[in-house]
Amino acid sequence: MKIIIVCLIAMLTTAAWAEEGRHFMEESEKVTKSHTEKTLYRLEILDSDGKLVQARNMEFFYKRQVNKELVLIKFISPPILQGTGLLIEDTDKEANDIWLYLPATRKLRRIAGGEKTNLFMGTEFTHEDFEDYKINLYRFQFVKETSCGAMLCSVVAAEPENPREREASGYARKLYYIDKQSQYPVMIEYFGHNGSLIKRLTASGLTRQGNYWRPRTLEMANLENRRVTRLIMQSRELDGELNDYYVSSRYLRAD
Amino acid sequence: MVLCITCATQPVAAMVSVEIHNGIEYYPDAPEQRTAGRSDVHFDWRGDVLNARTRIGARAEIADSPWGQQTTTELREAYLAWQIGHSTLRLGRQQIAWGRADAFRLLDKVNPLRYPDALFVDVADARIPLWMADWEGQENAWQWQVFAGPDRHLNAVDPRFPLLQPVSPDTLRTPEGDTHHGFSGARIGRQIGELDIGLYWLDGWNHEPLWHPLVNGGFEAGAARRRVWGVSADQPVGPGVVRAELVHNETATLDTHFVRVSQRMDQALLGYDLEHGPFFISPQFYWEEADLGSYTDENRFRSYSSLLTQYKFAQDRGRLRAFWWHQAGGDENWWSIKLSYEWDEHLELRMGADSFQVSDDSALTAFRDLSRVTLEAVWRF
Repeated sequence: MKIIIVCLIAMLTTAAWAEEGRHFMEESEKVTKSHTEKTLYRLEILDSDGKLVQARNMEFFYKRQVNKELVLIKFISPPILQGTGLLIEDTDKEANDIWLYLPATRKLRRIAGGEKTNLFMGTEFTHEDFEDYKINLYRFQFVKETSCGAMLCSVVAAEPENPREREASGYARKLYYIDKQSQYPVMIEYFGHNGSLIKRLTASGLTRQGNYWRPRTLEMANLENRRVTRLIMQSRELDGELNDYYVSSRYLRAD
Repeated sequence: MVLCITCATQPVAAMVSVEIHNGIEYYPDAPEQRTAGRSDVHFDWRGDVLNARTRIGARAEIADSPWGQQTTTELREAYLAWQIGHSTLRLGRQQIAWGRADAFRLLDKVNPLRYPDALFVDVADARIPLWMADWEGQENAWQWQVFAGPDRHLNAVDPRFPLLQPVSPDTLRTPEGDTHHGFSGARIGRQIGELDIGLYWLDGWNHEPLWHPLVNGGFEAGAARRRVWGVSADQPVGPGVVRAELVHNETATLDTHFVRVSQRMDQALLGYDLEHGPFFISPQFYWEEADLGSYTDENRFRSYSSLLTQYKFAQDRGRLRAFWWHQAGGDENWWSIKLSYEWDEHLELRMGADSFQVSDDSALTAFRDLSRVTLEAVWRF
């Protein structure tokens, strides 16, 4: 009888944690997602010794439309990458539609959004890392509360529930550290299919801008090759007027 | 129609970029003086003029080959672009890249090309820009484009390579009155679920002359016009993307004093791009069937197919690109390997090798002596 009660309590607790985990993520998504975003980033690629290999400047445009979200990323320096860009269309399918523009051919080429594990332009970010929480495709579970630096964070584990997502994702599990005050994920730990921690994304310099909290720096550390990619915000505009042109293939092709 | 400038464009500071190429080339099949060199400077200016995003590009080149030398200065692109609602209007000298595939390019037919550069360098540098008005836009899942221009231009053949048989546009037989026809084209595309499909139409000058048979034997080059209808499609399948292009070409000479030459060609391309981590592999199967009309009495109908496989690998600052082109049912091959290394943000070092194995009556005959090894430094500022 005791065993049944213990199992029952365990099941109820697990269900409650799952409910709580999903609730955390939904709330986080609600308060952190803007309608538009226009950011200029400096992107730094560091090798395993922490030495700067390449610095780039890139434009980041985001717009939420009816039933879809559009992200356009375009490099404006160095000269070797100038004009190269990506347009990502997220319609809540398992795989995003992604188009790549290369000035050397002047062609817009569709690339496989299903290959989420592909690295983004030689950085430590994969295409998957630019996706949102994909709440409908993952099972979330509240793990614990912990301090992350000066902040208090709720730790939520995410595992792909959808079979296609499970197959396409490069990660078996993610741990989100959600700052309790801002609801912003200040750290994400990525676990490979063998269960080991392979990457860590850290957001720092969190400040409030209008209705939203945003970090000044995002740092993706690859714990396997010890390389780091850092995104440092130079300027940012949230919920400003953003013409559809800036999230269109026409802007991507405008050299 | 409201010309909406401020809502769609942000003023950009004028931006100048300069690219300098210095290269050494070695042609193992050349009869003598197998080593040659090439230096070129590309200049690009971008800024806002008349409330339009403006670009002006130019190129200057000094080059030699085992067969000759050449100095070139060329205005590349010079255009103004305005955003009008959900569309862009671009006026000036420009290039249009049609189609989906980046190795075989069946629909990339709007601008003529410079040979043999079209085989060896980035295709954006090998296209010859044309004066035209281009208007393109998108609305929901639809995309459209219309353009028209007055230019008549043939593919250019670098005179350093006389074996490519250059034909000057001035020597073409073109009847009076017909020289003023320009070119025009249209494209409409739509995404239907996962499938992205486009329909193309082009009416203009053929970029190659057709040859009129003469009564006393021999041939004379004649200007020709062509109509092109095409379909392109791509769809993600598994871990990659399937690409397909179908093109129907009709080409005819204009000079009624001679026997009219008309040709028809149907082309098809099916490819699959597979990208995983730093690796990229893309096999493309190409097929064509042509009716060469009175071009020649022998072999009037031609059927041809080939397989091109492209490989790429990129890691850190290094890149490798290789491809192998093989004639189906034949013994022709073209190997190409290119390595590049980014020394720093301004300097890129390139090394490449191309090898042509061709037979006397093949499509690649003109390039039979162009097997080569190259070393190049590219500075960008």
